Amino acid sequence: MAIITSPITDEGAVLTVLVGVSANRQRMLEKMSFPVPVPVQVKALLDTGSSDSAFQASVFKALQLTPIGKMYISTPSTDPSALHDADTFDVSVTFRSGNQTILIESIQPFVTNGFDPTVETAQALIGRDILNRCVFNYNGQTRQFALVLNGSNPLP
Amino acid sequence: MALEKELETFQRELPNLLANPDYHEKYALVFGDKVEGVWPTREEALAAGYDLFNVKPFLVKLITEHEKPRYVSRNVIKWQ
Repeated sequence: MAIITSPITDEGAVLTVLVGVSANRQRMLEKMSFPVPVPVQVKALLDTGSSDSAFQASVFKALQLTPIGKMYISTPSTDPSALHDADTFDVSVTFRSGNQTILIESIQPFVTNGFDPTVETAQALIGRDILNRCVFNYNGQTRQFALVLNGSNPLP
Repeated sequence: MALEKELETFQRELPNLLANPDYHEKYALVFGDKVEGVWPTREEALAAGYDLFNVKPFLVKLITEHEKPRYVSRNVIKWQ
């Protein structure tokens, strides 16, 4: 189990994760004697309002990935009557707390360009695809959040 | 557009896939113009896809009559 605690900033609950190829893809690359891309460090905003996580295109390019899925999506700029297909990928996400490491072997995130580096440090969203595996405590009064991850708890 | 052919294949084959109740809410693995198989979970379909096609692009998609939309609070773009 890993417990990550951190201050709530003006951007919200932000933490750093490592995004890598999924466990399945890594097994295939190793079996084929292909190099496994180095995981990418990303500052991510914990977002209970998003059903899925989303990372910038540069992350997927660094991991030498192309899409493996398509899903209907609604975003702030989507007309609810005209949902569209969006590309999804297969990646792993690693959380670190001290000497504890929790690896989530496979999620299906989208590509986002919705972060402005001139005004925010967050570059990505962690959505409920990951948060549903955690206990997330947001204490606005003390301006602290805590994320408890148990690597043995699969997504229900 | 990425996986355009695979998505066309899936849409074309979806009525046939839905005709089999055992395939409902399972995951189709699509490569090119063929549905290669159906697996109970996304992870199993992905594992099969990597085994069969290695680094070549393939599509894994849920077989369902009414696909529920996903909701993301920031802008999402197409892969290019």
